[in-house]
Amino acid sequence: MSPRILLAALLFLSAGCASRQAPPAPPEKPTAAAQPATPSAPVSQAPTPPPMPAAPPVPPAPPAPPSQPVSDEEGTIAQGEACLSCHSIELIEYTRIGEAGWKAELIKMRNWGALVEEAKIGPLAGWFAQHYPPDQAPPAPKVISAVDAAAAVAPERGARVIHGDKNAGAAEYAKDCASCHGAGAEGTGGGPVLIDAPVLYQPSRFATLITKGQGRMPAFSVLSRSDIDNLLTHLRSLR
Amino acid sequence: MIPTTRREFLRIGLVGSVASLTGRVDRAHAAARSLIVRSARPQDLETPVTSLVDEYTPNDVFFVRSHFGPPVIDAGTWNLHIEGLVQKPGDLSMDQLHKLRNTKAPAVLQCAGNGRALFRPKLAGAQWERGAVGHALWRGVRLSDVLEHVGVDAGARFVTFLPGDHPMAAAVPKFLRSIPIEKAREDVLLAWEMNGAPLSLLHGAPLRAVVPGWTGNHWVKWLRGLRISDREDPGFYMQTGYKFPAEPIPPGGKPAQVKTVTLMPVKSLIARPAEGARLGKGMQIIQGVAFGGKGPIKRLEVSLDDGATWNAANLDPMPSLGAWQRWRFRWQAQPGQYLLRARATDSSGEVQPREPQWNPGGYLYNAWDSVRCEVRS
Repeated sequence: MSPRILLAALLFLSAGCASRQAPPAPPEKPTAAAQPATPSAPVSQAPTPPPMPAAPPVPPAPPAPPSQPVSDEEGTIAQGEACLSCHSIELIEYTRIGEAGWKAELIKMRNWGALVEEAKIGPLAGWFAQHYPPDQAPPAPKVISAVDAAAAVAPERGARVIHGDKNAGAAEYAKDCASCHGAGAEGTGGGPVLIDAPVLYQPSRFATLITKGQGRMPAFSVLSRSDIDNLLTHLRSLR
Repeated sequence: MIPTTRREFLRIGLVGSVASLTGRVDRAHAAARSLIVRSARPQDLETPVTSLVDEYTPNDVFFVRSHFGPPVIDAGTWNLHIEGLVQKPGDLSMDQLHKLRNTKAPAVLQCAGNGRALFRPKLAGAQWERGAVGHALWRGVRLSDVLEHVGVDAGARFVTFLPGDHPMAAAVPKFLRSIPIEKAREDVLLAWEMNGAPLSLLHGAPLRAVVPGWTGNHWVKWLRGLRISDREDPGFYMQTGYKFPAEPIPPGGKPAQVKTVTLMPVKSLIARPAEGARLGKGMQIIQGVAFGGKGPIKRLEVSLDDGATWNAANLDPMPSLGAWQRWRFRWQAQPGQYLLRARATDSSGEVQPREPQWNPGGYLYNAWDSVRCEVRS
């Protein structure tokens, strides 16, 4: 789990489900993304594209005036709210598109349900551009084996058989889950789609997500094993 | 570009060569057989370009692109739903599909956005460098046979693939792609097998489209159905996404008119040596692959001096349209610093260009491939 996701998880653990107001985070350590490239970085970079005089590198954009600049804490929280429900951090930290590019992305994603206020788009675009500078190389990417990649979505052993109460699961879902994941689990900007989701066939991972939370998903530590089985039975019945 | 730093690559290379002498290749093998994580959720995983040396890219290093997460589909109850301008709409079971004539075809699968990270100015989207491409032997049923089986009406002009994956949120458009009926009848497969193994969940189980010569966005995974209609899908992914400037535009510009991304343009990749490799002097093999949607690659050239002079490489023939062709160049390497380049020319005379055609979506990157290396004295 990345430090940022962990941080967001901790924030929401302490904030609780009902509150959307996250408390201010402790200042985050600068990440690799914000540090100058190491001397060995060019070797692992993409082949240098042929010179293109028409396209100088986009200069790092200053935080957008006239709006109030976004602090690192606010930016990190907003990133968790707006992006990390649907995307993992790599996609964001590899994206080096400057303020105008980020603004266009935020507008597109807001139209698709991302949790970001319209008035915040300008200042947040500035934060993204500064936090992920176009003129600096992103951190070296992680690697994964095919076995681990497949395991991330593969059903757990024996996962097909769950004896839950579908109606009780539907009631629990309506009470605690529907506000973020949608009434039919079709997903919203606050919580991703769950229909046919691989995690429905990974009961132990599902239980951990429920009881410990992740990202902006709060922990529901009071739910019992049978509550969780009921939820799974309900969710698996959805199409 | 590759998951490894130069030092790591050398280590793997060293371990590999020492290990192969002792017959213990497993660890080096495992270390080299990883995918580069461009996005962990949903999974966008890139093949290290040094792995693109086989006729068929092994499934365990084959790149993965997921618009949304894979849906878990019960193959036992799964049916292919067929609707629209057909005489026999309804569902076909996997058994019924298997009973139609099934066939095998080699074809290159390349993400339309492969190379997006190499465009300047930079662009939003999965930051693929060179390895969102692979070549597999696909087995399945010809879409033309399925269409014949259900009887297509005269007014049918497009086939839309109905995918099983669900957008992350209700406001996100479904991933719907349409292809013209002529292409559907020409060489498209609905595949359940990849390189002799059942299609895995990440690669589209239980059934995916294989659209030879066309970019990966048409190769819809987790197929649940087909819609036969007189028009292409009106949604975002046909009307707004996957568009390319109708006429070239300057980098950073806005196109006045756009066309749909379909055929892969002529392209070659240098698989080895790796970027940043340090080689011994003497005989070295520069090798890679070449492909394109318009026709066979007829000529592959390698430059040792950033394109000032070119040398013909040895190029395999194309077994069938949509397959890739491997190539190799024997190089008497002399000490120095090199910027190796490769360029392919297809049967229509189209030559891989020096500069990529910049476009706002970051699609169809096909500039001369490029690898820096050093030959030690």
